[in-house]
Amino acid sequence: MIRVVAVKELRELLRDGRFRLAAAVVLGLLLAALVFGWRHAQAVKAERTAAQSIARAAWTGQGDKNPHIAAHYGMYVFKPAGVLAFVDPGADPYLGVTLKLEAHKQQLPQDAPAQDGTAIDRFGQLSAAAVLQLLVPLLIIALGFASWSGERERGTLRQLAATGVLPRRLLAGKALGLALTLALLLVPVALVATATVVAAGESATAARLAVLLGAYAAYFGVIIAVTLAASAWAQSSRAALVALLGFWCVTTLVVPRLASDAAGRLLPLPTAAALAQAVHSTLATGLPNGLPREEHIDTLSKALLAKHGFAGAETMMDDALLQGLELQAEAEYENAVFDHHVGAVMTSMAHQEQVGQWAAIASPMLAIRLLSMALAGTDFDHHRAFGRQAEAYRRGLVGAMNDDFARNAGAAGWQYKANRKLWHQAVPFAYRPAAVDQVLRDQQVALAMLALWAVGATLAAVLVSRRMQVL
Amino acid sequence: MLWTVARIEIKNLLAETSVWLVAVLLAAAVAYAGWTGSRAVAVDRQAAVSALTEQDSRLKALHARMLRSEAIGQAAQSGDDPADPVVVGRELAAQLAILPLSPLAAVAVGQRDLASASVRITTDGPQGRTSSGETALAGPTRLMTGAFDLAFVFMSLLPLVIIVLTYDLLSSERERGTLALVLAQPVSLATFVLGKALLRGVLLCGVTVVLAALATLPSAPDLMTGDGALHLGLYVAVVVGYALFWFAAAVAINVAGFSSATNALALVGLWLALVVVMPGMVQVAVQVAHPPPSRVELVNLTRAAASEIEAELSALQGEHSAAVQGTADDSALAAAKRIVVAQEALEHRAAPVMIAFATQLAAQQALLDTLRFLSPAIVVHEAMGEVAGSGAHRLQQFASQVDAFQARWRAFFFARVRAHQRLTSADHAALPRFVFREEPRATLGWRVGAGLLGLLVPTLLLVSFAAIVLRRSSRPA
Repeated sequence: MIRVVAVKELRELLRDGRFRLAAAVVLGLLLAALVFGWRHAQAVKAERTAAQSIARAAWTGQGDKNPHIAAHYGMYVFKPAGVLAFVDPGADPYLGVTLKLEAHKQQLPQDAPAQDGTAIDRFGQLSAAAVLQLLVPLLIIALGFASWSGERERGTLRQLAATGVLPRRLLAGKALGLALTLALLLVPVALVATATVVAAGESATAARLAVLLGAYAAYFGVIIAVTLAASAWAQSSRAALVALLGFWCVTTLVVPRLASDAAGRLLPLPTAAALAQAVHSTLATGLPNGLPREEHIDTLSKALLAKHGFAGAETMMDDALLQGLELQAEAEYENAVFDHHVGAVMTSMAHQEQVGQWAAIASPMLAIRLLSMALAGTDFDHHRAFGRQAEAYRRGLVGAMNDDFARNAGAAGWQYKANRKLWHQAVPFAYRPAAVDQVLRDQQVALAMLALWAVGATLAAVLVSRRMQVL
Repeated sequence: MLWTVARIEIKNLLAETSVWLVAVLLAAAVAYAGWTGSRAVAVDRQAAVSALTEQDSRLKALHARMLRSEAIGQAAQSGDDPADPVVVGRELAAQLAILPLSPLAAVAVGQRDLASASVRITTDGPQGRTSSGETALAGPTRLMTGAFDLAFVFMSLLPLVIIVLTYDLLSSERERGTLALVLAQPVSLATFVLGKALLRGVLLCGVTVVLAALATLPSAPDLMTGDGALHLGLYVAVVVGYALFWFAAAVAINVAGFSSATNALALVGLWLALVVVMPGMVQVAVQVAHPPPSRVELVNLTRAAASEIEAELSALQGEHSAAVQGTADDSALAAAKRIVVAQEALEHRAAPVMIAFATQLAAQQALLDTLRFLSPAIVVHEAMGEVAGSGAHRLQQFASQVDAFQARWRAFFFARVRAHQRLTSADHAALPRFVFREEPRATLGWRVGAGLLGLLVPTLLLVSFAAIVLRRSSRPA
């Protein structure tokens, strides 16, 4: 029975000229966005890979110099584009790309692409994700708003009821019909996208893409259920349509902005100037509730001495060794300061994102948007992971330089120069994006909200169709 | 007759709960956006004021130290010497250039949260210039989503409200069967539609004007200053023009004779096309036509150009600070001079890339200024940025004035370094100060005026379409 209803719905939709027009527009936009996104992503990838190798060459080719001076010279790293940025560029345009790693400073990634744009960028990119999150739901609404109410208005609902079919079965058939119609449109595109990714030779990316496609399917399921529920519940097709358009408008336009507004208010961030000032003054004096700067560094350098087995033997050590260890102690002190201030800001930003996940209780679109960005590797979590890995790398690099100073400077002291051998010993920085299961764990609230919407909307559709007035 | 139609229509309207509901929702959105906007502006203004106060006291203290050291005739420690032009220009007297907030800043965040509206000016070149960051940091999702400001409410939500209120202007009468009854009276279809549309149009304009004006109440004190009144007038005109465009679209689709559901879908489709799809396409067009140079490549380029100069620079700076330890003798000044020369060489090398950035951005903006006419939503978006003083044009002017000021700043200090002069208290009193010069009000007026025309023309086209259809259907068969 379900199959009969589904086939009937499908056939009816396919015959509808309006559907064909709308479907053609959505499909055209989706394909254009994917092709454009793919080309853009490839260009970005090539550009950053090339830049990274130039930056590496600048590091290894910096000539002979004191290792600590080399740590000051530092190196640039460039954030690789998100793995599926061609599907969902997410927050990438607003996130910094270049990061300078150097002694005594923890920089934040700079040069977000959006800085070099015009105001038109703020409308949001016409990405595949935007088409899937905004336009496809509207297509579903346009297809399904009259699926119950239309039958009632034409009087066919009474005939159906007279045949004794369970409303549950009818509902399943209608939902299946809508889903099949949508699948006819989107599955080929999904297959092509998957094939492209697989052909590019990325198995980890393919896993991400599979989960991403699943999440979108769930999202469309939610919209189908909401549409059918509204269609059954409303007095007329017109009322159903207006209610559904209102739902779309609130969940895709209003809630996301209100949520990010609320997040900004609940977890205010300092100004960049205030952050810089706080880091600066703490570096000069000492951590709040901690030792003053000099004592702190002293403790750290004692610990370092003890670790290297020189405790109490300072007077017998050569100058360079002591200086190298002191430089390292200073670096460790600075790291503690950065962890304190920059870490706090990053945590606040992460909590803001978390607020967004909870706000998905009022908008399934928010849930899919966060999931999509996360799986595409273009969200704040990935950015933060990049920053963390780069900072860990910086600390290792500065440590290695100070260590070389301490071991090899000897009597030459600051005149000691290391050469390319040491520069080559530093393995190039490589950013490792999180595995899929880690991404899903980070997004568990958004996942739960999407699941909640799926259950809630299905339940609503079932309940409303059971109590529906036939006349 | 027109009057009767309008009277009946107002009774109908007021009796409908959905009208009230939608009006209240819109009013709530406007009130919220107005409130958050003014709050954000207050925070930004406070940050700017305290940054400038801090700067004033810093400069005063510096001046006082200068006077003291002149009195005792003894130089201070290097790196902290108020008479050393290198240290003062680079660090001690660093000056903030802040873009002042416009009277209507609360209307649109615009590009203010992205572009740096405050810059710390030192003798370090433009690529060493940092945003002083006097605005609160914003998370990426916040930047990507955009603020819930008045520009958003009027550009995105107002059309949807108008659509909800007017999509079934005529079709509902037809569907309920009342249209036939009405037309059996001595009234023509044209008069009937005109009566309904005029009343709704006037009501809509009235409500929009009141809401738009009320929303700016928190900024009222600022509106009395400068170009406040002009900005307010332009802003209200843009909102009303935009509202009329959507109203005309709704009327035009109604007279075409589709069902209510088709009308609603067509109007929402139009909304989607103009507010979401067209801007996205224009964005792509602008990017493709004038791609910005790559910042990533710039990093390596300036680094390569700078590396040897940088090496020399750091060596010289070491020499500089070592040489002036305690005293400021001739060798220190000679070293300082070489630093200046090296720095200028570095600038010179990087200049073409910096210029390429500015050129591409200007070309993008020029193209956008033309392509905006493809969608009234883009017109409104740009105009809101303009009247709020957070649009691309004003930020662009700020950037170029900052560049010019920095050139003055460097010339001031470099001239003294080259001449082997130490700074005096008179020099301190004569330090260049940054003052932002607004563009002539006529320029802004013309740009926004052209935008208004971009709203008016499609509105008139829609109205004449409706008039032609109506005249045709009113003609006796």
